[in-house]
Amino acid sequence: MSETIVMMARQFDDRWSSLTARPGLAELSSLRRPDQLRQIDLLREFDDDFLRDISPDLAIATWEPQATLFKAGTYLDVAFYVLDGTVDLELQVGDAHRPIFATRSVPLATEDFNLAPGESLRIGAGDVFGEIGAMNGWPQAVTAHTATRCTLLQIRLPALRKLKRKSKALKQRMDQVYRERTLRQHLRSTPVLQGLAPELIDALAAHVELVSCQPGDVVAREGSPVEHLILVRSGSLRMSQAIGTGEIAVSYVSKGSTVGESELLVDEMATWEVTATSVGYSELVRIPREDFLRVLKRAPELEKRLWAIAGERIKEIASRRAHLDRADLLDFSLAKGLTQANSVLVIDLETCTRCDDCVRGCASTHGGTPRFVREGEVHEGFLIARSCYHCQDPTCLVGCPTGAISRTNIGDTVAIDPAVCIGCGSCAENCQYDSIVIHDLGVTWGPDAMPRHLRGQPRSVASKCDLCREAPEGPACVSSCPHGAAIRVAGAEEFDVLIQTKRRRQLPLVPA
Amino acid sequence: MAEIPPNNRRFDKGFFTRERFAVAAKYLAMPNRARLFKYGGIAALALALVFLADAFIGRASFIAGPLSARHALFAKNCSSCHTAAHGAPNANCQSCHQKSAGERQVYGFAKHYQYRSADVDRSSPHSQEMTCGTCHREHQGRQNTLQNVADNKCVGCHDMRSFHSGHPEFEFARKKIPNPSNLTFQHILHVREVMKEQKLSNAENACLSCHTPKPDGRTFQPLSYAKACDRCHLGETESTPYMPLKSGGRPGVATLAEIRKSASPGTQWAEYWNADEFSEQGGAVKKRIVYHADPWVLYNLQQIRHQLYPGAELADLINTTAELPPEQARTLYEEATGTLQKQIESLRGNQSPDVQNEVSSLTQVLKLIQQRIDEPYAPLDETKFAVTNGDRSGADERAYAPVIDSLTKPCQLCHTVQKATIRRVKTDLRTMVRAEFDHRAHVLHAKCLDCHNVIPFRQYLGTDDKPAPSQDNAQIVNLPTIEKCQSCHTSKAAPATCTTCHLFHPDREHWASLTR
Amino acid sequence: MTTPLPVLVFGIGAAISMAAVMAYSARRSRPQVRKLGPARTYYRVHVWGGLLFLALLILHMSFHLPRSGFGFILWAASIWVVVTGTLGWFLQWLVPKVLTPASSFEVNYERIPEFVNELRGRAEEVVARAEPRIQSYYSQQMASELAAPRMSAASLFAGARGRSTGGVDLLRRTLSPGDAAVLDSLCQIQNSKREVDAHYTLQRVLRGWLTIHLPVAIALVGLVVLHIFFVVYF
Repeated sequence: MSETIVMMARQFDDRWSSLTARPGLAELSSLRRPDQLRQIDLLREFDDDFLRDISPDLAIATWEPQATLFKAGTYLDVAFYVLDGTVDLELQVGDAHRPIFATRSVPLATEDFNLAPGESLRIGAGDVFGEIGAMNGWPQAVTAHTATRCTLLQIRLPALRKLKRKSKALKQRMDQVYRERTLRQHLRSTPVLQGLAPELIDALAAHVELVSCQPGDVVAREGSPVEHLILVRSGSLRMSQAIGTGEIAVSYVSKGSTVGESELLVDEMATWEVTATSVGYSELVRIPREDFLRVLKRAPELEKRLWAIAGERIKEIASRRAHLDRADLLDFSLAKGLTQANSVLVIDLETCTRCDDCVRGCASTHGGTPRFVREGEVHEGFLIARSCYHCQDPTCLVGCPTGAISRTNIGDTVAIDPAVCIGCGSCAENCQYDSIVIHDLGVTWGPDAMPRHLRGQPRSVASKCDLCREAPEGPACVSSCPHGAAIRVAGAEEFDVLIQTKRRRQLPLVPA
Repeated sequence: MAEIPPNNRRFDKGFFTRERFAVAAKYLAMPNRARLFKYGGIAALALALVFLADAFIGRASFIAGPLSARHALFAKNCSSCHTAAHGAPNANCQSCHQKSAGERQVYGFAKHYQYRSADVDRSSPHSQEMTCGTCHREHQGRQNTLQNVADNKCVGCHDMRSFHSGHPEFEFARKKIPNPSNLTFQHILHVREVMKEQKLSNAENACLSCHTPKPDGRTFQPLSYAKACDRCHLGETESTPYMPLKSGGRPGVATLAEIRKSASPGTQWAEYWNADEFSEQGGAVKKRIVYHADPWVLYNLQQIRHQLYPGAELADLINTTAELPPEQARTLYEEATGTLQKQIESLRGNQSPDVQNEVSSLTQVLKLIQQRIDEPYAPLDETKFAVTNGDRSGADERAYAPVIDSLTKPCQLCHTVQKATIRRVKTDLRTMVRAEFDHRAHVLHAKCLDCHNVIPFRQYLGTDDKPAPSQDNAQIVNLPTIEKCQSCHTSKAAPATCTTCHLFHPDREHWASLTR
Repeated sequence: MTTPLPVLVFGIGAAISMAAVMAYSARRSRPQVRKLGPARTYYRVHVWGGLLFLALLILHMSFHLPRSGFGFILWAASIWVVVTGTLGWFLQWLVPKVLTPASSFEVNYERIPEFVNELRGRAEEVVARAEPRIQSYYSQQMASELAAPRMSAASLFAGARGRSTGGVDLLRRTLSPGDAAVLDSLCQIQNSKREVDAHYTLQRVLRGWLTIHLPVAIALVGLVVLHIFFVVYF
């Protein structure tokens, strides 16, 4: 095998082995040969090259009985395929953390199974669980324990994506699982379909199509006939319209929202008014037009809701078409992830004297190392500093081997526990916005460190903005700026308001 | 359009290595700022050392301001006025300005109280002593004269704003203090006579014929009979009637020979000798010429007084010594003290209550006289020296009355005779006891009668009308009120600051008048 | 003490406002004490406290000029500090408003040398593959500008920035389209460098201002302490 793969394998081996910090893992082996892997029926259909390609992301683990695989609220990038043994899944009654951010998009959790609170489900060989959380980047809603001694095939996200893309059969199988276990729950919790009668939900669920999108995939093209209503399960879609020889962004939807409602409602609109493109990886649910219209006839309140959404969307599109800089801002926000963001550090460059007191304040609150740099994109005289956005769907959470990076609740800050972090850098790799920094602590790992590869190596740790949660005064960056140039805004809409206020433009606001 | 902005690259994505961190470390430590602090600190230290050295070694360039011209030579020696951590205490001023704070503490604030300032707030923290520097501020520049104390220093304690705003009326006018001269005198009559005699057209020249200014022109000499009245009064125009000689228990006068026999050297009577003035006729004596303060008249009066009122020696004492300079008065006082002490000694043995009463009153008088010797300028309370009635009956008084009357007949034209005493005439009455007045500065701007206009001279000069007694008598204080002064002393005309008229530190010679 | 009471009161008031002003400096260098208030408040107290200090100083001196050498130095230092402080207040308002439109990107002051090196490296890379005439033009006209960051007022103005170095248009006309594109990319790099110069200039102005304000302020603190000592001792 090539050198890169050996090195990667060693890294991944360490990541797996750090899981031995958890009690209950009896044995872990990774990097099986393709022929070994083909013995697993899930992987039987794939060829050697493919298997070799995905083998670093696969591992076979043997767990003791009564071991905790994961707790509710964990972000995992692993799907589990039970080879042998039984696993218990419990939906515990969650504790009521009040989210600190007003979540604008729908908090969809991974309700893998249509469980009632307190209920538990036992699954056995041949079952897959955890892949929805992995694919969508959602926290687990259930706690998984091993009932007996189990052998599990643990599939990491990159392999999972490749598998789904490569194998229609697997995709169908997984979609089937999703349909059976979760689709109804998701449909029910989608705001636009809330309150719909169960038989209508069932009617919808029977005919939906599940689509996975790569970044940049066009989901609907302006001018082409409308055949589906699209519901976003995860990720976000950018909607644009053609103007002249180019196109401008006119709106966006993130998880839980729908595209195409106005086209469906208005009979004369047979073609798409917008082009919808996937911004990152997206999971969509496509509901065929006739089925939807049938359901619509039987649910007048749904129709009313759709009209409301359609009306808002038309206003928004008109506003953005009339003011190209609004469209520009939307593109910028989508590109920089501001639509995902819950808290963005924005520095008003027309007030900032570049004294760097904000960085100094952050550093002294965090033991001498700052959690952000005063660098980044500039838009309309505002600098978006490279500081953690506390995304609604954080990609950094997925893949942490030790669980050092976590979020206590859906609406809470994302924080790294420095005592647990081993500095592997996967969160930093995953973060698209360069907000996580790895820095040296100046000490080395001892000879008994669990990640074997790291023994004797210099110890580093990941750190990122934690919004200074412990301090009552709030973020140090904001309170250290002597001119009030450092401002925290809660996402793209507030940034828009900020620009309008500070640059004193009188344009009508885009309806939220 | 610029190139792709450099920081769009992910060159340091995720990893803040040590080299990269050095950049951040720089702006965390703020070395530039730290360096500036260091420079500033060094500069501060250097300047501080320079000025401290100056303070304790050399030129005192940290001085608060140039000294006034008279003190300029002290500029290099701060300790000539300043004491470490005590400011500039009075003791340092005293070392040169001895008068300022000798044993009498004339400049002390306690003495300021003596000037009968009833309107000052005694509860102020300065009630004990103010430092000289409170009013006389130094370090205001070469041209500054320390004597020029501004009004605002005074009105801080005295409740008024200026001469024009809040200054009270002069005391004699406010309290209507009469002129207790014990004299009968009519001004208008006299002025008319003088003007006629000297053929004066101007009444003011008539004033000057009696009122002689002192050499400094500020005030006038005390009036004396010899200088002012002798020209016209007494002398050969007056004589006493024939008065019976003293014999046995009958009241009467003494002859010249008798007096000469009993006179002791050094007394007035000893030098007096002119037998021609006397004429005898059948047991009665007449003096042909009566002089002012005629010794024969006074002697006889004294004898009668001692007959009628024992203890009247003291009244004599006051009468004779009141107008003498302190040194001469001292001799007489010492004589009196000696006599009194002898008297007290002789009476001490006697245990009867009347005698003991007398002893105690004599002892008190002795104490008073001792005080008088010690403090010649202390206020004189004449009631303490009042002549007592003794234990004589009223019959004696009635018997002596005609004698007294005829004896003092020429005197009674002007003087008041009471209890066989010619009441003392106070010739130098200072009604302005807290302020100074300089006549010479004023005579260029006003004539005498412009200000001294209580007695209506101008009304009666040139006529032969007789003014009513209430208009013209010696008890009238013929001085202007404050309004007259304020008419010229405004803030834009004649000076009207506190120090124009008032002295905080009067000379010794002014003590007598200021501490009445 | 024979100091008149108003003079003493104003003097003490001036000293207190000076202490309040110094609090800003402490807050900056000790951001841990955040619970004592946001830095914005301290900045405002610093500025208004400084002006109050001037007013109280004038009253303290009873509207006179100083009369002694030491007094003059104190007074001169105070006036200097307040005047430079006001100038700095104005500069801190003005510089961001000039700098932000002058450049399309943001760069930290400490990273500027690195960027300039990178720009130069990029330019040299382009030049290495370019035509000889472009190469000679570059080494004559452009290389010195790309050598190091420099202070220049012209970099603040878009017009001056966009003005090409002499002879570029002539050279472009004599080149083929491909080479002209190479020349254009060089010009773009040059433009970027000028934008970096704008940052360098203005951020240096702000740092330079601190040099004229801060040392005199520290010296003033020391002198005021000395002044208080003199007043009490003498």
